[in-house]
Amino acid sequence: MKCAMVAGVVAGVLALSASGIAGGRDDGFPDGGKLVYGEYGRPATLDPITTNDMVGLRLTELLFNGLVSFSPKNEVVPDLAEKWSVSPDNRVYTFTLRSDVKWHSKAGAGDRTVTADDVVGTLDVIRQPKTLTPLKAAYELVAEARKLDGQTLEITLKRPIVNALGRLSFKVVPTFALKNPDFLSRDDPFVQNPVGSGPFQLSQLTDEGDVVMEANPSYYKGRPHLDRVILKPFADKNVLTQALLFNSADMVVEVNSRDIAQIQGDKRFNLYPYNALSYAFLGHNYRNPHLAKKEVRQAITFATNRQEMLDSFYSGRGALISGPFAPGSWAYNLDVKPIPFNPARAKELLTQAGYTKTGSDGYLLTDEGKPLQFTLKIPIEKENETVKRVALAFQNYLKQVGIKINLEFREWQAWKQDVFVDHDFDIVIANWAFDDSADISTLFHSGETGAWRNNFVGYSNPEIDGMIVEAKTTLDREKQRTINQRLHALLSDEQPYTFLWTLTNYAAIHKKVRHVELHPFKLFTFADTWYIAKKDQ
Amino acid sequence: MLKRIRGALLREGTRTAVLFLLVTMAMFVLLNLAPGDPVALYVNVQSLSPPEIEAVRHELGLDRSLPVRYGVWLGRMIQGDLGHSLRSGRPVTLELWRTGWRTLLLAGSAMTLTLLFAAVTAYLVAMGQHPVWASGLTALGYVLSGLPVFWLGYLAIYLATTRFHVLPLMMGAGAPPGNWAFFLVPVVVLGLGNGTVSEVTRHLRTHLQGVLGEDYIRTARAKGASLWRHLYKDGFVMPLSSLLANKIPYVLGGAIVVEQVFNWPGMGRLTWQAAADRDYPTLLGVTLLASLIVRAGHIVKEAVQVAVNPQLAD
Amino acid sequence: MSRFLELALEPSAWQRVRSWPLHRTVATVFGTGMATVVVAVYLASVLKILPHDPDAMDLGAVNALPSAAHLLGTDFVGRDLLTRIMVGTQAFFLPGLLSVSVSLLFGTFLGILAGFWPVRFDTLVGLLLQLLESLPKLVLILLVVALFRADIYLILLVVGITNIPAAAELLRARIAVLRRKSYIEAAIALGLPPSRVILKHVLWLHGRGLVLIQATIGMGEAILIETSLSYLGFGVQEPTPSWGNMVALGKDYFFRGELWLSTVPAAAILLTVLGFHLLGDALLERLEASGA
Repeated sequence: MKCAMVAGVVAGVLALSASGIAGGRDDGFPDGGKLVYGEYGRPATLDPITTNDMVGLRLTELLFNGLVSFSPKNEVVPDLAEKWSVSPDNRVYTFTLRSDVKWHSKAGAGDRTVTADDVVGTLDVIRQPKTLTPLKAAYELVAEARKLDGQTLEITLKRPIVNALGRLSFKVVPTFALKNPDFLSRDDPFVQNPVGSGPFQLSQLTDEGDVVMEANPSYYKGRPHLDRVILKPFADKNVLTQALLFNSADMVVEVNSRDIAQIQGDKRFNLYPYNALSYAFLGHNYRNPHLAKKEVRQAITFATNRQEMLDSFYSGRGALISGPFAPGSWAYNLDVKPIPFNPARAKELLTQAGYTKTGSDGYLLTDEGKPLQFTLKIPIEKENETVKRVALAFQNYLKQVGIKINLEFREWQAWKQDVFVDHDFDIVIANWAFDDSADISTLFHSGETGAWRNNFVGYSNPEIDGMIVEAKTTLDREKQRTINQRLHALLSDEQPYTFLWTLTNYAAIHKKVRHVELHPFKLFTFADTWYIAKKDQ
Repeated sequence: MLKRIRGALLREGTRTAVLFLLVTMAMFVLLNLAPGDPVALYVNVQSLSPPEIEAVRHELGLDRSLPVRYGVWLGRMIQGDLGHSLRSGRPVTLELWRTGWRTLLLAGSAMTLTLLFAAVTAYLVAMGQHPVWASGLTALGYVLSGLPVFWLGYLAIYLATTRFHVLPLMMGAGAPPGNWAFFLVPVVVLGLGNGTVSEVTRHLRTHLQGVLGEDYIRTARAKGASLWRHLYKDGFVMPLSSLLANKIPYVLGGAIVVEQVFNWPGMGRLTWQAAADRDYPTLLGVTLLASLIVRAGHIVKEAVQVAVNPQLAD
Repeated sequence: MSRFLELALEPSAWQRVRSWPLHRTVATVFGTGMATVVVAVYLASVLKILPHDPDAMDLGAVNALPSAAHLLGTDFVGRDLLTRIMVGTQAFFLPGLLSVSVSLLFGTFLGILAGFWPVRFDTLVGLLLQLLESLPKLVLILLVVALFRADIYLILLVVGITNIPAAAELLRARIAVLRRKSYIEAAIALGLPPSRVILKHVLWLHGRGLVLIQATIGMGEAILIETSLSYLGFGVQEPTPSWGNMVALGKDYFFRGELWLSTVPAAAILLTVLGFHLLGDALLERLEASGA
């Protein structure tokens, strides 16, 4: 932990000297130009506390700062806090804030700067029961936040955790600008007209839902080069791609897999791959007596040609996974290989499991004489063409080994009710997205099988429970890694999920925007350094 | 006379109020029957314990019983407060205003186009003077009525992008001047593609032919008098006004799709999102507005028909 | 051939048909032809007389254009388009009939109530009809699908219910016209019982044209609304084929120039709806001409 402290101070000093005083940047790149980026869907709210969708999350990267931020390699770097220290018991973090970060000029009379009051206030608002925010669960680990003096504050955690700094990256809001400084509810005009300290400030939210943001001239790292950044929401993904191709948008945050080849060939754009720590899987409900048998689950995986699906539907842009961790993460065990495609082996396993008779329609029969069938429940979405392809292909693969798959599409909220509350499903197709803590406890711990808990497949194994708890509570990173690797191997054998793949996402950005670096899922963390050459403006 | 008008207004007013009540009640009940909780708009439901989820529901006032919630909504509605959208937090009246005029503009223009097309075609067919044009337009009307509206929208965009190398979307902030012309594209798509063109044409044509066959028209023609003055009342205004009132729901329904294809931020998109989110204040507001429009359409129709044909006011 | 027909039909009927204007003949022939084709395809698909298995996938040949093996090409997972178009008739045939029956049954009932006894029923019926009209159709369907499941019969039932006002209004308006012409008063004055007046004179003689036209329009609308729903995600779900969900699936390849996938089912929709409309209009014209 001492290393982190020293590194923090050094990094802070370097950052200070590099940026100089707020004002123009002296990196030699020109100011000016606008960037229009298109997203599918609109953000419900624009502030970092109430926002509950990815579009909003990305937007807040442009408007706000946190105590700490991340480098392109996802290492923790100072942001509002220029230095910090940790107590010996790893529970108390003391932060010293920079004194030159100004709130956006809309915040009120004078040039108010970010103070410890603001940071503590933000944390208090997040933890207030009346504030409905998805962050509450993440910050439940904070026992207390206390201001020490104008620019210093102390955050006490309930228990020590690994990578606490990375977890304390919440965006800071000016609580004095809220309708009620103690809590934030959606009827507060702040959520649609937010004020932050980030490189861009909100200029206008147009009637069409466009979010127009202007460069913040007093940004502490120096005025960003781009004059304006505009978010354009779209309701149709195909039209969104067309907007990019016909100069109505300069950037698309996530390009459709089917359009990637076309955009790659288009000389006007650069494609930036980013790998959100996420993977797709088929979840098997242990409450179904057939799926409770390991041979059946393994057979399902052997029978499914995941590589063919990945190649055919996603042009191979991604990688198969073998276990419960996101492959980019430190916890992934590269020694465990994905189960190969082997329908013969699948049939063997099914015979071993006791399914020896075949019905007249080609499907295996259970002891009751009924065909061995499972219902795959899929949520209805407007743009889920690839999910449909995967589901249909899956149905086909399993038919070859004698298992009948019925596809059932359910409206989104009804699907969530079926899966998370009633546990009324056999197999589901879904995605998990992770932060870098690689914490799979909510997915597989037997205590998390109740309503609205993430272990909706009902997996229960005392040995795994023990390992999960150990991995979560230990402070020894190496020990964590070893346990996780063993967890990976065991869960790969157990196949509570048929692990599918992780996909490479691509952002398409017009070549006129230069010096682009993207954060894996927040994307705009370094947008203040992007610029457009004079001739392209 | 004044007393008659007052009586009529009172009658219509009461009818409208009862309609609003029934419509919103029906929507409210249906919304609550359907599974799904707006709580998911606010928090990541999977990371909370059931008591915490209940706390959120309590905070939102969603744990009160159905009649109570409806009663509260109704009470506020009468005072002009439609509540706040559960999704954006903005007042519903503001959301309706912001998106409503856009949809009215789109739907109104589209409907005008439908009626115009139908009127021209019907007139040409009924008068029988330009058979080629008449047949051509009739055929076109039939073809357009048989194609899915979103497919027509996609076709329009495809033609514009491949032939003219331009995306026919009305862009908002930072749009080049003259951009407003692109508004015509969704109007044409919705106006001609909402599936009612051939029906409206036929209706008008039948009416026109019927009126043309009437004795008083034949007399006027024989006398060489101008047809228009005699024709327009019974031949055009009457059927047009009733068609207008009846086809409003179709055009509004088609608007939901066209707005998504052409990225038009109207009420249709708002409605669809609100239904998916179970954002009941917004949805009730939209239902209210939609029934207001339908009702207004009927009242206008009746007023026009009475004005044209006073004997109808029995 | 014409001699046979002349012998088979009454001379007056044949002469009447011969006297039809060209467009009506073309329309009737096309309409009847299309309707026959649709019914034939529907029956064939029900009896499983199909060129391929509608669910058989060929991941090596996706989005293929027509070839010897696949007369209309393949879809996004390599399934034969022709077969799926044929099976797609099942998605609207019976559900469409259900939708139309519901709207006509209740619509004519309410229309008669409001038309015959306007004093007693006009307000009530009018209110009910406007209620049905005001509820946003697509939203209702979303909620119904959420509540139950994405079932085409359920969806088209809802559509049928929301179409009741159209049918009722048509009938009510026709009755009002008849009243204005004192037709009904005359019939009753002549001593005919009201029920007979309603059933024979109003419904059969004057109303059948309207009912017919509503039926054809209703079937057409059933197909088109399922297509709009499919665009929004809510129509008939995979792996069941419907023309609507096929057009919607094709939209994702449209702008890349692969128009085939979505145009083939759109053409099927066009021809069928066109056929229905033309047939309905032609028949209506004939009925109107004969004094209906």
